Amino acid sequence: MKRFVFVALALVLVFGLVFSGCGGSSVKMSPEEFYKGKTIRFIIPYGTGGGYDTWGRMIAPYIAKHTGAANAIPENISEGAGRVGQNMVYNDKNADGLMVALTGADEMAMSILLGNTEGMEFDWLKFAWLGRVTYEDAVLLANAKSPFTTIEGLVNAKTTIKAGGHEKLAAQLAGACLTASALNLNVKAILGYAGSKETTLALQRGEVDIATMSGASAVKLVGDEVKAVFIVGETRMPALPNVPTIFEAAKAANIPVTDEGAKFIKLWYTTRVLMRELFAPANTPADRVEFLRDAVEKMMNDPDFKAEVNKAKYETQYLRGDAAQKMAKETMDSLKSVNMAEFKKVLLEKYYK
Amino acid sequence: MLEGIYDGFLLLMNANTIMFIIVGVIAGLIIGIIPGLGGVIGLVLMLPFVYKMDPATGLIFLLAFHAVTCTGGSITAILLDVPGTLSNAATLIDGFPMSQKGEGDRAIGAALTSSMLGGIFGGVVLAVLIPLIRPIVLLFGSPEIFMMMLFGISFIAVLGRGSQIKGLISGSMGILLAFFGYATIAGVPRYSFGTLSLYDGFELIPIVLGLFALPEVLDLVTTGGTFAKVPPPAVKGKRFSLTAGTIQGIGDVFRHWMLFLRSSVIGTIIGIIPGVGGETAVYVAYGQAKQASKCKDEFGKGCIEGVIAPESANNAKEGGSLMPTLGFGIPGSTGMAILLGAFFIMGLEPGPLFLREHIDIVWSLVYTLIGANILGALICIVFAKQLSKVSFVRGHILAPLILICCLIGAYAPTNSIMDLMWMFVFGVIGYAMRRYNYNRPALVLGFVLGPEVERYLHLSLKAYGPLFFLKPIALILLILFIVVLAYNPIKQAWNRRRMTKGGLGYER
Repeated sequence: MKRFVFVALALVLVFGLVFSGCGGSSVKMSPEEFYKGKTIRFIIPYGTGGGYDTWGRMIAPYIAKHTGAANAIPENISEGAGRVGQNMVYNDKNADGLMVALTGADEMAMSILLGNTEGMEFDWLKFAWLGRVTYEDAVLLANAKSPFTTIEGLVNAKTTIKAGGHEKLAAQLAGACLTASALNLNVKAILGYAGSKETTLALQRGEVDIATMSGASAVKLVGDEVKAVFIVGETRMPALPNVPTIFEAAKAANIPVTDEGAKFIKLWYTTRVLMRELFAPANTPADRVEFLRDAVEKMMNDPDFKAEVNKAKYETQYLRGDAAQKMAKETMDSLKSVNMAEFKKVLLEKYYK
Repeated sequence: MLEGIYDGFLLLMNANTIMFIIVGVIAGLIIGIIPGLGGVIGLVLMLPFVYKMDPATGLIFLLAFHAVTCTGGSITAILLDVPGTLSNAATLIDGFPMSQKGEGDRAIGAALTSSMLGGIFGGVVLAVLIPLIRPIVLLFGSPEIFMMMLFGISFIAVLGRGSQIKGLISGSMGILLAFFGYATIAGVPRYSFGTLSLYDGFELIPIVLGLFALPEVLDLVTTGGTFAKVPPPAVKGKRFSLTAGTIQGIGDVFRHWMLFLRSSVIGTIIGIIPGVGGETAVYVAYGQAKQASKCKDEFGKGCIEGVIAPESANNAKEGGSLMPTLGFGIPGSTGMAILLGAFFIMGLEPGPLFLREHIDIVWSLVYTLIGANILGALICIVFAKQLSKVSFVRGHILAPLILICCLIGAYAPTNSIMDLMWMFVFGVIGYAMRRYNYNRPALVLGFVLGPEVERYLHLSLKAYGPLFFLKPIALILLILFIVVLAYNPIKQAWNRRRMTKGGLGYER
């Protein structure tokens, strides 16, 4: 009898534990209840110390704050030039909203445009787009002692203009190559510098003549050794109000801009505005996606977050996730009017002698 | 600038900052001692703690932490044949054999003293050169860096144990391994075999841990015993007193003061040049120590000079690497890249304006560098007697601990399981290399420098054409390189010729 009672109690205990564990999924939790006390994995598919890492570590605590999560832990997964991290996020089997990533949709867009999708195990438009934190204009910089500090100097160059950068699709060289195409310049692109920092040093030293830098970096560099020539894009930068766009500079100097070159620059610009996007996995429940989008919006308006951004001398260019996703789709739709073969040649071959 | 000297000192003189320096130093030593966790990973772990600190205190804390990781790492290199940080990889060539001979305390005494004095040297050079930071860093372009790298890679043949031919083979293997992964100069991944895991090539930390740590773990597990191959000495005196060996090691640094000076200069100069990397400094220092030594044959078997040289260089380089970091916002080393991130988070921007507007913070960092090195070395010297007993701890206790540290160290940089797998693969390779006397440090040097030599050669050719080596500093470095390489063979040939002539004269 005692044995029977003991076995019965044990069975009740076991089944009770099993069913209590299963019970959660059948009870619909609101996102607020779901996130309370949880830990969010904040994936940064890039190495430590870079721009995405700095931004990511600034953002993570505020994601936790505005979702009610206990914390958001940054993880750098930079393998495969970030593809492993991006694949992992997209294909997350749980897709419960406890994984968020900060990554560059501009780089994804360019990879797709140029057919360089090796290792991409995702459809970038199917991520849950949570919001754009910022993007950066591209500024063409020139060594102050070179004759290339003005658009006239570039066009009338008597020697080959050396453009430096990290790799072919990095902003430093892409902007320079597109400028060369738009203005018919004699440019030699030199890739292999370790990153924007080393390219900067090469520019200051005079080892290269020009390089394109992202807005925040360019603002810090402009001075006695380096001059801003123009913005490689369609709009001026608030931080550099006196620096014209390439189109304004060309018009003022009566220098023609090739139609195709102009289209290429506009296409490149439409990808650049997709930088620094926050994503969640593809199948994250819709209500949690909306909740995360709201959290991102609150973060962007949080005075403490704004103070930290200002302290680091960064700028934000917030765009809600659904609007950013729509913009991305429109970018792909705008391809039809562009000669993609020539675009690819300009960016990857023409100026690499 | 002069008012900054005093203001910088004032920044340090409060209880809060001093406490953070002490905490930073202790944390840095501990992280440095644990294999695989030093340097970048340690700094990343410390970053969240500084977000809410005031900028000066936060930076002082991080620098105090970073300045002493190599000091702590030297202990692991000497006692366990595993570099605590990548900058300690050359120390184990002679440090570990000394430990096996029961001279671990002497090696530790010399390493800690070299580290302390090297760190002070680097800090003093930084202080003196503050007004000249920018012109000095701008002197070194791709051709100059290429020459420095060439100089560094030429030491593959002279590193440590084993024959020179085997050293060259090991170095070549290292260069070959470095070719795996994305080549920015070509714009294509090499030898990735279509896999993402090899897209970026191999990571350095799993290679180093695999090559050095795992064979030792395997040895301890299979043969039992201890790292030391001699019985423990009868140690007298108080628990934290200095042993005769430690005192001898301290004295060795002063006896070899020229070697210390040369190595510190090498470390500082290499630290100044962004792109060359701290790992290079220790090998170049070791190589020049061997070249210049009167007892070259002792190197690799437990020669004290082989400990003094790299340890002087690896701490001196931090003073050098602060120069491009503060003057340009360009990190002089990987650790400085993280420190730079901390600068930005705290709203500070290194560069010419920073040198003018925050000269007090610059000077406070100089004082921190010097002070942290002194404090770190003193703490370790006090514990040297106890630490040197690790060599005599039974393997079945040490092996699992080392293995756990290696697993964490290999996984932490990229959170990739593949890195763990590669660590074990390189463990097998390292075991075979050790068994057949192939030079493991040479492989690491080839791996670190090979792709950089290629990259800077490419940049030099593209930017300046084939006559890039005629740039003044590059030409001087090239001549120096030829002189150093040719010196020994010419000297030996000259001596042989003199002996032959003298012999003929005697026969006549």
